[in-house]
Amino acid sequence: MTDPADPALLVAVPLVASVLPVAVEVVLSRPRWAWRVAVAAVAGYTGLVVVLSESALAGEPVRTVLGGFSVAYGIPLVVDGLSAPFLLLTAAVALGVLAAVRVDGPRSGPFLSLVLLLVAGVTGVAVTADVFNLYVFLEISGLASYALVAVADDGAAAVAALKYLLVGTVGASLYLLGVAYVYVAAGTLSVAALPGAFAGGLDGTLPVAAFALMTTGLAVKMALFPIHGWKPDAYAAAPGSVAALLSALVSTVAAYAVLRLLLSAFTVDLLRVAPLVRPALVTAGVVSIGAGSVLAVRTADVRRLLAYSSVAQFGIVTVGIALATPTGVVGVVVQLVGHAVTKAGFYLAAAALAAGYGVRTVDDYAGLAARTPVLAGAVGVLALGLVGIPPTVGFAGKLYVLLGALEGGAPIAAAAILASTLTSLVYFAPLLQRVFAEPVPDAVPRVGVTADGDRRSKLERATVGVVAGAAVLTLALGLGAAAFADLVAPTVEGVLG
Amino acid sequence: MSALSVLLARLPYVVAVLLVGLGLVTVVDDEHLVRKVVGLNVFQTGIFLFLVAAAVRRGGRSPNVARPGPYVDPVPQVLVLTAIVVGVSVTGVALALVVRIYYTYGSLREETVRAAMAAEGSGPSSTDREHPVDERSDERRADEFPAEDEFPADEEAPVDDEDRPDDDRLDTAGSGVNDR
Repeated sequence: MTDPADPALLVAVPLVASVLPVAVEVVLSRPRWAWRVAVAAVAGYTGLVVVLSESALAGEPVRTVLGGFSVAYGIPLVVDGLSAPFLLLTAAVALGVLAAVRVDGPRSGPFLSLVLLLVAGVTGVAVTADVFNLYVFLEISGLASYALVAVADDGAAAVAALKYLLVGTVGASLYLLGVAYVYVAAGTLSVAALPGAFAGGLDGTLPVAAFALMTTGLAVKMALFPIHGWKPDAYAAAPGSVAALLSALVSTVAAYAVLRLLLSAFTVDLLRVAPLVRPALVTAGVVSIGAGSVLAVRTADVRRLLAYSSVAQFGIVTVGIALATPTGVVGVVVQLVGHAVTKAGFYLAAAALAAGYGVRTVDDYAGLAARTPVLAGAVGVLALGLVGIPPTVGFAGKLYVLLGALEGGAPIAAAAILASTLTSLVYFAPLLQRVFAEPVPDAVPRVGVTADGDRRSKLERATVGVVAGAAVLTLALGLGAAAFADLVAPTVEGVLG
Repeated sequence: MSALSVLLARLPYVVAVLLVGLGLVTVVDDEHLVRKVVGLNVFQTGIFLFLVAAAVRRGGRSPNVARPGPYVDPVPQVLVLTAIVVGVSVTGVALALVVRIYYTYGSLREETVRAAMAAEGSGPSSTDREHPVDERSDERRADEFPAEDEFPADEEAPVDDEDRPDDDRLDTAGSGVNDR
């Protein structure tokens, strides 16, 4: 046993700790402690993630089988070079959001409990190597996100959360139906045992239908067009910190799950023996890129615009997954992590701007550079990151996926990715122009959150720090993209065989 | 006749497909929010039935129990048991949200709720300004919630008799739920 830590702790720590904030607040009546308990739990989780990722990225995957069963029957948890970036991302986003909500709120015990539950759920999706266990974690993270959307405590949030719940549960149930097909076809649910376990070969109706059902279910969580409808409603109705958390984690791990299923469970042989799978995935991705861009151009509310931009970004991810070339898959990982950091930062910035300055639409953003230079500068960097301008991480992710598309001989996909940069410029350029080139409109009073000015200035310090951190990370990940790709590449090549 | 006998031989699967289809149509098409949640449950039950039906093994034997059968594959049974727990949790959260929607908008009908949201300026279609998004709107209390008669769409919506008792029951039974 040279394992640095048991991967089961990664799920157990946030899951068990998720009881504490609400217990501390309700049972012990110590609301101030709830936040500290949550931070302590996430800090412990981060420590575990760092130790395990260090080993995994050094080429030594850490695995455990729950209950000591053999791999074919038990539930294995694996931290390898592919899941480690998503664990690090989860830890970083959770810490950032907790830092931002310390003053800015919401910071009630139930909210913090839900955050920990979400962390446990997305971690489970990232580390599990059992397709049914993945369903359970998908629903744990799903339940936490439905409740988090409704944290805003008004009717619009409840309607958005119910819509999200109905669509999300149908998606998860389709995934479960796919799991049933897998079990009928292969007789096992373990990702490690699945390759070669399909009795009639991979090109039978059952394996292809299973993959189609599972991918469709996960595509609902990724919010690919045309099943993206829950996303703008949910993200616009939720508090900014919740939108940041969900946009960074929920869709990202769903995309990771599709990638993991294709590479490790069904293996890339599926793309060869079932000729329809790759065109179907590429088409879904390209349509999402186009539709997301068109919808974003027509949107005035910045937070809805960001949600539609996610639809386009996950289209790029889907194209990269479909290519399944080493460069393309590395690009998918870079793109997913980069998008998560950038989008989370942008949502926190949008929330801070809405709370501090009362600006919500693209037109409202006029002259922000003069009013709040730091936030405006961060928004600029983050917008460039989403467009994909060097040296941001968005550029690196798109470049790798593009190279993967050329490598895999998919010119249409390559053209769509190039076009997505132009179309995202179409909706981010007006925003940047308003922020940096237009004067402050006359008679805009600086709207405070509360009458109490002290609280407002603290809000800026806490959230602005996190937003600036996200902007710096967007640049740093972009500049260090080659090193990042080198860390992930050996695992990807190993999985691709 | 032969087509019918083929279907009859696979009756559990046929029922599963019917339940999945029925549930999905209800989730998408029904405009009553509680019935949408019921539809979701029917949809999931269809999938559970599929799993249970797939577990049947003719002449199956147990590795460690001596008594004669019938035995089935235990794995799908366990999966369904877990999935039922998940489904119950989802239903609980869904109903909690439905209760909040009812107290905010005074209706469980999708159209009415949407009309009320549009009147409030926070409808999903309003992409323009005036999005009333106060990040910490704890001020909203029961006395602010609009009365039901403020919504003309409620009269326009076809109200069949079986719906009204639902609404009324929620009205009386849930009066303490509002402030959580």
